[in-house]
Amino acid sequence: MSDKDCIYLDYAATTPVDPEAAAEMCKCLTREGVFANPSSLHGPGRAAGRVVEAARRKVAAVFNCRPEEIIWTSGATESDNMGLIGVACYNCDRGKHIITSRTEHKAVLDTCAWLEKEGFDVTYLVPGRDGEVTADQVAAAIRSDTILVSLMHVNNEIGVIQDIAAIGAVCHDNCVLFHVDAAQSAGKLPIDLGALPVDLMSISGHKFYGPKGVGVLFVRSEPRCNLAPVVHGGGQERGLRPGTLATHQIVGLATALEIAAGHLEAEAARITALREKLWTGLSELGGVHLNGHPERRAPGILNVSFEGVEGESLLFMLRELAVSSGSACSSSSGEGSYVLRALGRDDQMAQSSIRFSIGRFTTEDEISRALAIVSQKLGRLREVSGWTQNATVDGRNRSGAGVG
Amino acid sequence: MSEPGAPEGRLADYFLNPRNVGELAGDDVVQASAGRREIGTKIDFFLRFQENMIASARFRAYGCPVAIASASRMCEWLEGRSAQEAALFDPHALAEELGVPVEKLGVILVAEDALRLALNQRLGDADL
Repeated sequence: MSDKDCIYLDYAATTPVDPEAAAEMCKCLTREGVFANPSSLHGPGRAAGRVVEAARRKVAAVFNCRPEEIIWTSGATESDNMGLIGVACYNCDRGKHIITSRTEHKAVLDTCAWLEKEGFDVTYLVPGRDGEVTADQVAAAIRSDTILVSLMHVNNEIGVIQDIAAIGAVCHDNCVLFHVDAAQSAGKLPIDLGALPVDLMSISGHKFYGPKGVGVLFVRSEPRCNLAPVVHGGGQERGLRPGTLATHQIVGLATALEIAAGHLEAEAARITALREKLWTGLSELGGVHLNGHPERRAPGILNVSFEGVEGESLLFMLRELAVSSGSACSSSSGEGSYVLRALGRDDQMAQSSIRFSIGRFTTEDEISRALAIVSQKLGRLREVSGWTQNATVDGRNRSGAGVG
Repeated sequence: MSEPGAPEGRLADYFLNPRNVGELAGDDVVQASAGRREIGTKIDFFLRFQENMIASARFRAYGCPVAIASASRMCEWLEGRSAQEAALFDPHALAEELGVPVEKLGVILVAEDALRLALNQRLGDADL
């Protein structure tokens, strides 16, 4: 089986570049195109600069914010680092307390861990079993020295949508800045920064059919959200993110975002229907558990745990599908996804989780074929493990270790 | 989310086409298990003895591809051997034969634990 025969159900990991976006990118690469340094003052440089600013206006229009609030980065990881570290350093004389959750992306969690080493105090909120962090939890955690709350809009593993409007309102009521990692929601859910109480927002181009290696950090200008620069250099991007701007990447991101935003509602409905077809079929196999909130979820992400099988084996058995596993069994620790464990899933359920993520090019036929493959391979692994649904105790198939 | 490398060669063969899957029952069968599902690996062996020879070996395995492939290959290796010969099982030799990466050796040691628990019922601690 070649990789091309694989059914791609990993759109939350990355997406192929939209052909129109790719074509626009190509116009910025060669001598005949807009290749010059956008910061240069000569004619070709100014032409490239105009292309970059047009892209900035496109992105700002999609999110209903000001063009000057859009800072180009290399992706959401860099945006998260810039936002968290920048706010922390700028505001450290006002307070050193930051709030986030245990189910954030590593780009936020590892940055928070680094800030802790630098003397900041971080509160890690524990979501409910459905993955939701409530505004009440945030309100209860805010202290007089809290300077920043950082929470993701859509969780990358389980697809849960956080109520960023309510959480942001709590933050602003308490004069605390609010950063949102929107890597999984940008181009997929409506985001109106003119209405949402969000001060900083991170996105990655490659999650919505743009290129890899480019992202955005939205930094609100009114009221002004001040950041200390994390990277130092030539002064580009208001000195917040110096470095020669990658015109082709920026154009690719903006074009892809504009296209995604134009089809957002229709795509969400179509992808939700495919996700429900997949979930209905999987749940009929028995011993399959949905991870995350049953309703407040992104259209394209379905995370399920399978009783009676281990995640790494399931992933290898499902090699005709391009999916992701919650298993971390590359070591002998046997630890599963930290996100699922934070939700209270036990290690076995966390290890045996698979994330299916559906996107623009997924077809109903692919979902049907994927279901048939999962049914067959799951059955084989369950035969090896001796799992039977009738043998379940308390919803799980467990047997004690030892001599029988 | 981790995306470990896919098993290849004999490891892939024994994982994708496991031999000796199942259970045995009867007075001439010893059974033992090691590991726990909670830690990602649980292996059960069922050994039927005729005189002192292992006439049949079956397994159940919950775990990663190495767990399934190792248990399957061990069952094949065990059949036709005496309990004393089985006690000479070398996890490092199996790892080399299947091409098991060194970080996964612990999984084979779980299978070895299950085997030794089973043989212990037949031989007693002194012979192991």
